[in-house]
Amino acid sequence: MSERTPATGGLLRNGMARTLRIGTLVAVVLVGAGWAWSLVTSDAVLDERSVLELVGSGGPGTLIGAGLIGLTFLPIVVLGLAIVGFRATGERRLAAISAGVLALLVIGFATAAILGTLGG
Amino acid sequence: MPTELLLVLSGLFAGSFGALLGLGGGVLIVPILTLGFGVPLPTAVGTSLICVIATSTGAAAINVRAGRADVRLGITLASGTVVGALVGGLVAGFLPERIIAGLFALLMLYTAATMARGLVQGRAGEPDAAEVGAAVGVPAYRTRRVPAAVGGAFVGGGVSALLGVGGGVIMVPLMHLVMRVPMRIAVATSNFMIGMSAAAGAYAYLFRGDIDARLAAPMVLGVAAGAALGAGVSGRIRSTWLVAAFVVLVGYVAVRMALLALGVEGS
Repeated sequence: MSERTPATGGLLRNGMARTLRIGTLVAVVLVGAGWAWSLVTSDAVLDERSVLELVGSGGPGTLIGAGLIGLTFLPIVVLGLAIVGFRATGERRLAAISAGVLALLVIGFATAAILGTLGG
Repeated sequence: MPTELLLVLSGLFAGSFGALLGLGGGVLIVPILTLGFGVPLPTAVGTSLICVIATSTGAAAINVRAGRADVRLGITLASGTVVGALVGGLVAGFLPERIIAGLFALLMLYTAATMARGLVQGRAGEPDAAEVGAAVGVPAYRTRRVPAAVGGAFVGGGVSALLGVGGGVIMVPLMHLVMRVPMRIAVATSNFMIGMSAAAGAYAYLFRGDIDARLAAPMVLGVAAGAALGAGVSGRIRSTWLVAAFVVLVGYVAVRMALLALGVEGS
């Protein structure tokens, strides 16, 4: 039980806010550009393809796939920043928790990839 | 009207309503896709999770910068939500669609009841003590019952991944009522955490092929625009009427999802 305020160090707060803002913007712009491109060209690239297959499909599908997958990676980048920020402010316990959560996300991604591959 | 445009408009509606009420929008996106567009529930849930990440990260950027989101608390509780979401995402692949629909109906009833209670007690739209305190400076507070809250966060993460929602309806009361975190900070911190748990849940759907790019692309665009729109007009709309409309809408959707769970209605 510790007294706290929500305010955090500059590196942590500004770095995270900037990453979240720019990351979200880039992902949404990629999705928007790819989607508009597919509509203009009446491209059937989106038919019956999973998001993962889209990334390697070339053209508008690649933009859409990259944007959607980029969104799911944004929290991983934020946690990486949290580790750096908490280490910089000497908060080792929180740096370790951030690293643990980051590891869980990476393990979750790998497990889903393995199970998805096994499931065909 | 072309389906693509309808999807963008649906995302716009869910994103703006969600932003006005402090929700991720998943409680609206899943029923819209399932009941409105006839999308299978697992695909609706996976697609919704991607939209939830978009709304969460967009709002979190503002809340973190403004110091409203407690990053330390959010990351501590994320250790629970992320594990819950990983488990929920994997378990969802084995659950029959009707059970997920039933659980969704229960979540909707809980959400409607929680918001209706706030409405009856006259809390909707009123600043709480912490907000008043925030007006004169950053409110200091103590977090309590952290281990219990991490356990509760596990449940919140599991619900998020199973049902395609942000989980704020569980995380905000958990932080506010159990941990005694001021409401304003609980809402902002929940928003910050939602992106992590939604991403953890989304991985399982991504590799199962349950995220449909044809749905996700227009919905993400609509939700992102709607969230920005909702945040922009939130101060100019009477939240009492908004909450009342939401309670009616959620109650109606809960009944439809319950009928789906009982096999009376097809998706």
